[in-house]
Amino acid sequence: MTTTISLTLRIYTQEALEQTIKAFANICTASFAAAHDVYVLRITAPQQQIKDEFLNYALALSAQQLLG
Amino acid sequence: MGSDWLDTDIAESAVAFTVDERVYSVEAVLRTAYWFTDRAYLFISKPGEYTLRVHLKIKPVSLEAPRQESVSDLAGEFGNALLDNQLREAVEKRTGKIRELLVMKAVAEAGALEDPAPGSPNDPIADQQQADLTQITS
Repeated sequence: MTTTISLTLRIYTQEALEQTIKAFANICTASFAAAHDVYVLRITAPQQQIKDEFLNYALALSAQQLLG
Repeated sequence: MGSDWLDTDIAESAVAFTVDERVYSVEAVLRTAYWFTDRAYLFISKPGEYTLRVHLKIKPVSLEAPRQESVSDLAGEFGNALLDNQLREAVEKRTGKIRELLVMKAVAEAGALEDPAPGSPNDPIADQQQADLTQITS
């Protein structure tokens, strides 16, 4: 099941997305590309919960990076 | 958003709400969301120039969290925490400098900064004149 999601650059960082993709490499495949003011993320995972975990992880990492 | 994240919201105890960026800063929203990532799945999108949309989905019951939380309670808590973070930011803006000065004063008074400054604190000319003087002893 592949999902495409737009992630705003105001919230999500490139570094966080790269780290999340590495961390989840064993359970899902994901890639992203910058387009205007968003990252377009394509994620393929067997379960919706894995995608939810992926997005949560990316959000937590982005927050850590943006808030210091 | 173009994903099935929102499509499954209603079926999976989820809620989405809009936050006005003219009232709440991105930092306050991000800080609040970060604190909720252990209790819920969060995703933030930006549908408009001054709006952020927070999507919150309850995590399934697990050994770490055996009690299923209510989505409306969690959303309410999120709102309160967001307000709290925004207020802290406003207070920090108003009183940050004063707090810094008070901390610096306290540290200075406690003598925590006792490393001597490089060089001599004395007047070098006076030092030189004193060295030129000869002490007369009887």
